[in-house]
Amino acid sequence: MKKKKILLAEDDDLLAALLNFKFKKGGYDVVLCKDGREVKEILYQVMPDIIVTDLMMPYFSGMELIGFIRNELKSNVPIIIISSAGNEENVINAFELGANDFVSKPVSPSELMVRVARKLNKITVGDN
Amino acid sequence: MKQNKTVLSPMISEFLFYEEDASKKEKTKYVHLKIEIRQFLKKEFSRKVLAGILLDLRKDVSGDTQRRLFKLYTDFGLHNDAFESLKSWRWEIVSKGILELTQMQVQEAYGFITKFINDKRSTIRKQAEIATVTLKPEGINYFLDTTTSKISEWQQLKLLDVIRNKEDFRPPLFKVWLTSKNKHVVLFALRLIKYYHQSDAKASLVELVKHKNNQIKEEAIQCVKAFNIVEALGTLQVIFWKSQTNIKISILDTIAYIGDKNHIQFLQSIENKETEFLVKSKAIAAINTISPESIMPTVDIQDIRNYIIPEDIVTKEEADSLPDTTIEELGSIDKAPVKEPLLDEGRGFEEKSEDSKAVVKKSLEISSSEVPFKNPANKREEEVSINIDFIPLVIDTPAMQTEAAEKGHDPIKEKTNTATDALTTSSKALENQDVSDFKMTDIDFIPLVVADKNEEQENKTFYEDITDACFKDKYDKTNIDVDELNFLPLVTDTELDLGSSPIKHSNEQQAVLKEDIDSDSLSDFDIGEQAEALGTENTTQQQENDQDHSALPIAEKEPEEQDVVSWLLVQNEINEFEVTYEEVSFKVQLSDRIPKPVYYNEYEAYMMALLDDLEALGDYREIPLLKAYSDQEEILFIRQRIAQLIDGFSNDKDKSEDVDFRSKTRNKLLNYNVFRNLFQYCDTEKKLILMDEVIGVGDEKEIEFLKNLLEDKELKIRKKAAQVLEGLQDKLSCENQPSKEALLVRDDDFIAQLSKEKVVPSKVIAFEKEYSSSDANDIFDMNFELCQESDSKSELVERKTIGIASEKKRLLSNPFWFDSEYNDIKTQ
Repeated sequence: MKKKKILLAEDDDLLAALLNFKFKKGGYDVVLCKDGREVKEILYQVMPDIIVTDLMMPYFSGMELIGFIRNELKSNVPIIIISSAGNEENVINAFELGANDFVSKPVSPSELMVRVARKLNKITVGDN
Repeated sequence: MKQNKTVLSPMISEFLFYEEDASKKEKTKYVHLKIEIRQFLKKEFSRKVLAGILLDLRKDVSGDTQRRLFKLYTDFGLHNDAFESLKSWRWEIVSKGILELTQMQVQEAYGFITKFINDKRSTIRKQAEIATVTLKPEGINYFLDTTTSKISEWQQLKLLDVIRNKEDFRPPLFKVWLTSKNKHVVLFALRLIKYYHQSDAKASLVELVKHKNNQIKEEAIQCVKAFNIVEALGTLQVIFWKSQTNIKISILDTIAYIGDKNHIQFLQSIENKETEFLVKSKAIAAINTISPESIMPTVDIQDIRNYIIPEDIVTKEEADSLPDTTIEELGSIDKAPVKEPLLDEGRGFEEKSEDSKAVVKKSLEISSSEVPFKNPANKREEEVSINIDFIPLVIDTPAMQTEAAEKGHDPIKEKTNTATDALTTSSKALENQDVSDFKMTDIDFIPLVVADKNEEQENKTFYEDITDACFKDKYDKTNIDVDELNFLPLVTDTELDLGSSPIKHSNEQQAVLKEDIDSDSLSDFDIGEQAEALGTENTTQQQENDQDHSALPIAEKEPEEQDVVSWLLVQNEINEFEVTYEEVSFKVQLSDRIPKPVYYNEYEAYMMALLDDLEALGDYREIPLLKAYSDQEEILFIRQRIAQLIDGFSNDKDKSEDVDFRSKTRNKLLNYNVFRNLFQYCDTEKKLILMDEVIGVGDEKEIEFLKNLLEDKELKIRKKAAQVLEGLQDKLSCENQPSKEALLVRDDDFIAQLSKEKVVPSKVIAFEKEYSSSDANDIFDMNFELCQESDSKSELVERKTIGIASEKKRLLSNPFWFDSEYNDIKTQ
């Protein structure tokens, strides 16, 4: 069975490494990006199965990324936002732009894994 | 550090997400990692890096991962470093250790950290307080029991934030700490009681309302309000009068919230007695809260009892539509509040269209018992007394005048209060008229501007009435005689023969005035001849001398005619001053007053400039030079100038003789002491060595310095100073007048002479005296010449100059060598 591809966009090296390890251990292929610019370049080349992104990133924020994916690339790929700025306004804006889920920091990797799996399963079921 | 982080991050991830049910491969990998990391942790720097990584990760992860992280921290033994830091004497290291242990939730550190709760250092204390509350649920109890220091507002907030975010936290009964001796604990407990709604401490709260501390008092009152403790109201009323303003407002707020009508009397008494505006208004607000609209607004409310509605507003048609009783019964009315008709809320606007008319009718239907209203016809009973005396009455037309006259006033002829009289009469006239009979004459206060032929005559008569007789002649004249302008200076042409009196020649003067003198220059006017014409005595010499100068003539005045100044004084009835005029004699020519220009040739100019410079920059020392110049000079005015300078400098010299330049220098030199300056930067040993030199090179200046040293703290210096002082005084007392020619000449004869005499000390003293001159002038006379020294005679020379045997060893080893050596030399 082909491994699902996760695009992880996180500028915090430690957390990125931790989540990368967790996702890889969970059987996913992980593409790690440190800023929004890298994400854009990769999205032009290949579309992952799910995107896990932080809101506050250099060059290109998570909100702009959501808008880019939904409006320009016209893709329905699931997007999960993880951010320390978990105030109501940000959450609402993210959902309005097209995000599928919002997880506030501090993140529980186990919880995140479950959310990713659910989103991917939904797609799988939908495909079926 | 960054490299270490990138290397360690996957290792930490491995450790964090390792599971027991992992495969064999993973388990072996895990074991290898463990070994590797233990090697890594042997270095202190590596441990610090790893601890930093774990602390950073702690912020980003939660739940199970976070718990694993804490376990990893202790498994790696990183908490030991934090424990070690607790033992440090530096507050920042201790604080950092406490913080690390708190963040990594090391509960074993609880016992160690609680000891810092009452530490003197505030940062450690605050860190320990937070750690105590964080690490264990009962930490808050321990903290409130043991703390003796102040708990700031911010600290209280932080502690509250910790305990409310704690999982499964069960707050204790904080009323226990209401009896604490620490008032900050009591205050914090009150706030926690209010936050956790612990309303089982009513009695304590009522007691705390009487606390001395205003903060506790206010907090207790807030609790009383929050918990609706009605039993406290009595106490609140009692303490009200002796409380501060903010407490009073809190009390009133509480009474308003939980009080009832029984407290209105108390609130009214506050309103009557209280002078503070805030408290007063709060009391009124409290009354209104308890009993709404029991107190109506009274400030700036207009009294409408005297309001009059004009008759014409109520038309006949409206009057017909209204019931008959409306107007007729207006005269006898009792006061009563207005009852406004309430509209039916359920209906829409369309439905209301027909009903609205009825409503309007109803609103217009004012019963006789409702509104205090007066008949406009009866309004004349009350006269309107408005003082409008300030408004002037302007009436121009004869028609208006006649009418006004009929009414009883003559606005023109009446000089006093014309306007007011007219107004009063007009107002009276208005009173007698009906309102319906409106005539233009009623508005006679408004001026009617009508073009009238007789206006000029009227104006004339008007002005005649108001003006004084003395002005008549002046203002009637259109032409002003030249005679009246006799206070002005007269500038006339030389060709005119003015005669003796300017008045007689008025016509000529007029002619002069008429002439255009703009093109004339001063040289065209020969004032000397005018002076003769005016009757002055002009000698031929004056004429010759004053041809080039102008003498301004002064017009003589006839005594009969009044001059302007005196006329003004008379008019203003100022009789105190007498006007007198200064008589100017024409004997003194103005030409004498004007200094004549002086022209110098080159040499004279140079000399004068030089003398000016000498005067500005020189002093008495220039006198010889000036005398030399004076002897050589032939030109008189230069000699006079020189003499002037010499006199000036001589006077200055006399003044400055007491303070001679050289004596100034001498005084400065006397005051200056080299040793004093050196002593500031020396230690005791150096001071002792320096004092040894004082006898050799010192003089009177050092005596005072040595006397000051007698009071020094150090015994050695005092003793040494005493010795040196004695020696110096002996030296100075047996000195001879130093010869100016006594130079430091190192020649064989002189040395031979010294050795012959064998009186080294006296000679030495005399010799040394060369250097110490009581007369500062000697300094300027000294010649410093190089001396020829021979090795064989160096000893003697040294003895000569210093006067003591120069044996370094003895000098250094024995600080009192001078004393012994000097005595030896004396005895020789």
